[in-house]
Amino acid sequence: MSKATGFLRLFRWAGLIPFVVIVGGLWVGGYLFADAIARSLLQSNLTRIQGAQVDVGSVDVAWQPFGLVAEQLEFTDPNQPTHNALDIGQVALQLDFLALLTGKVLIESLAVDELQFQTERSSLGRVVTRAPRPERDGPSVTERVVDTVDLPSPRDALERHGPLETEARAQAARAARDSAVSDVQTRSEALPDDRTLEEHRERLQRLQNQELRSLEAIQQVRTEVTDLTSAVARDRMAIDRFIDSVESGEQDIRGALQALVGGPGADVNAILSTYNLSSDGQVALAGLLLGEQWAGWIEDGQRWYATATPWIQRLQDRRRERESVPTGVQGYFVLFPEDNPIPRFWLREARISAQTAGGDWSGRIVDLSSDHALIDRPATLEARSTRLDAAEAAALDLVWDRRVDNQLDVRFDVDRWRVSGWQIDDDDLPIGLRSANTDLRVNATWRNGWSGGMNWQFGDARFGMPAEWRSGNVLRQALEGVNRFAVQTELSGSSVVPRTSWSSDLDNQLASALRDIVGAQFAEWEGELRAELEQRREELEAPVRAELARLEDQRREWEQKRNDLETEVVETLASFERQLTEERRTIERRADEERRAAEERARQEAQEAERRAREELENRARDALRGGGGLGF
Amino acid sequence: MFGPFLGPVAKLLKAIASEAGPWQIAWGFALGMLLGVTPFWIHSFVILLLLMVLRVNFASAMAGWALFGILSLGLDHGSHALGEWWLTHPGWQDTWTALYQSRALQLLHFHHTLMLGSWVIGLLLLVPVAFGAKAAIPPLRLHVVPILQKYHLLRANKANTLYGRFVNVWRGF
Repeated sequence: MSKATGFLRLFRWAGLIPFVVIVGGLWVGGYLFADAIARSLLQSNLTRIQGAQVDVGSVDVAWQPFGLVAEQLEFTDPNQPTHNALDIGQVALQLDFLALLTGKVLIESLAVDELQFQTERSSLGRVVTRAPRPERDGPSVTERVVDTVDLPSPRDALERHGPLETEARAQAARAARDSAVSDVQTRSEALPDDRTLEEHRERLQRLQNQELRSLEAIQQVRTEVTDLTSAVARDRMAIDRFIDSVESGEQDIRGALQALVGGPGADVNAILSTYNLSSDGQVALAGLLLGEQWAGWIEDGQRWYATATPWIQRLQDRRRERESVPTGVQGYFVLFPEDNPIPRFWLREARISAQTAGGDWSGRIVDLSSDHALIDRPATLEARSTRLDAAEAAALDLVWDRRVDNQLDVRFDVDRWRVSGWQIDDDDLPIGLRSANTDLRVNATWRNGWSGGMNWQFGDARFGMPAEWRSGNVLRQALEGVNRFAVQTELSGSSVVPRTSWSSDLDNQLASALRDIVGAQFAEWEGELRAELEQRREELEAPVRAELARLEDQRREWEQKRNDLETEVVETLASFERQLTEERRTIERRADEERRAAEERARQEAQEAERRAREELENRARDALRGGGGLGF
Repeated sequence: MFGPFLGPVAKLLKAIASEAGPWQIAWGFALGMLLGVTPFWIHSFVILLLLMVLRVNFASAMAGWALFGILSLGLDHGSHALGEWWLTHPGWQDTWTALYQSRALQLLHFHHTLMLGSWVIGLLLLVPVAFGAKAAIPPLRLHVVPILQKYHLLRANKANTLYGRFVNVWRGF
């Protein structure tokens, strides 16, 4: 057997037949059942992402070029299973088959036709995961605005206003009073009592009555005077400190009371800005009319965002997949640089036509990708109205750029939008904007937070409200005078739903008109409110003022005692001390004179004695001379 | 509990008990192993083609496929780690990048961590498994097959099963 024959014996060429049969069978089976398989896969995957049942009417897979056409796609609304969040008549997409086999989804073109929102389902849709329902915090715009127009009684206004500045300042005054009383009480413990002061006087009296005839007596009295002076000084210092603390407390209390006097004024201003008819107040009627509308749109937006979140996350997850290496046994594709890189997901172009309750739209999405940096282009969405019931034209432009940061630019314009029948569904304030011609411009950007805002111009405005409403007559008169106004909104915040701050000249116009109409009534109300607050202030400050008066009495009493002590004891002591000094000097002077006189007498006596001695000697000598005729020599 | 394992083992034992050559059984088992440890993709059709056109034992290949398909559940962690290590190794980046430029090569999913790792492990195991299987067949035929035949454990009516019918047709070639 030759080597070639031996090698060929390794093969059984007939085995090609079953291989071809199996592979061919798989191919033919796949070809024949591709539509059903694709429909099943599409339904299960879309249901998983949507979180609710997605029905696909039919799918037609095309092989050259590769793509599919799906019809009658119904996306159940997870929060309202009786309705479809989306109802799409037909979706036709063309895919890059080779890219798909390499793990990338490259959609060359996508056409979405007959897109409708919130259509009723024929049967209840199955819900897998419910989208979070958007919540609104705080009082509704209506609740806030009802407060601004329907004036309550002054007492009710005070109760509804919440913490009053007057009360806060009264509290501060009470705190100052308590602090002063405590300090004064501490200082009063060191004060001398009346008995002590009397003892000082008696002791001084006794000292004054003592005989001062010798230096020893003066010295003794002087020592006692020094002791008494020290004791009086201590008591006087205690009195001084006490009076100082009383004065300081009085000063604090007077300051707090002074501030309290201004409390009602501050409260009146604050309350007037709440029950606003001034230009710098809160959004009142504009907020009422547009705020509910806006809040409704925000809720719609939140609901749509919640619905779209799984789809957006799917894009972001794919992006994260590239940035962080996942673990697990599924493995992942490692991407390397290439000349014409393709991101994991790339929708080159989509054309969408939609029918909404307000009209028909056509849109175009370009370059929606999981990696904008890779394709070096942002995703763009353009939507234009083709027919609108209540406006001439509308245009929405979105640019989503994730090349460097995550930035979204939104521009939304509506021209000649005829709004009508904006009635607030609230019995307390049944007011409405009957009709107006408006132009809306929204220009916003999200980049680590929202910026930009909305400018909405209203013209030919006509308002309406029932005549029986309490404030209706005056408001209606004011509203009739308002024909044009503008509303501006500034967007901020970093959450998906932006925070909005409103401003509008509607309130100013209304305020001006209302001031003219109800100026007197409002002034009366303001006066009543001020009187109510003044009365409340007086009630609150009464105990503080009483305490202040008591402190003043206490201060005066001790000032008098200090003066008495000063005049009766301190000054007398000083005088007595001077007297003692004088007495001492007198005694010393007298003693000195006596000493000098004694010395003079002693000197004179010595001289006399000497003279006598000398005379005696001379006499003896003379006698001797006389007796002996001579000296006897 | 052991149900999923019994089918492939029975197929393997029947193959061993058959008159097929040891190398046919061994290489069939090894190629089946390669099918089992790698994810099913385009390469799998190539291996299937080899199984069909090479004179290897098809039953042992199916047994190897099934057995290592189950075992690969435990091997996948290692395969993924190995593939990831190799694909992200700095010294190999130029090579992988050069290969990546070809869309045709991308189709082979060589840049998939699990695919690359499992193929490396499968190819490394191919020859040892073939030789190991060849070495194990004579003792099994000598000691195990008689016992199984004694208890009629290998006498199932193959013709009554779809697989049996396929084998009968297969033997006709």
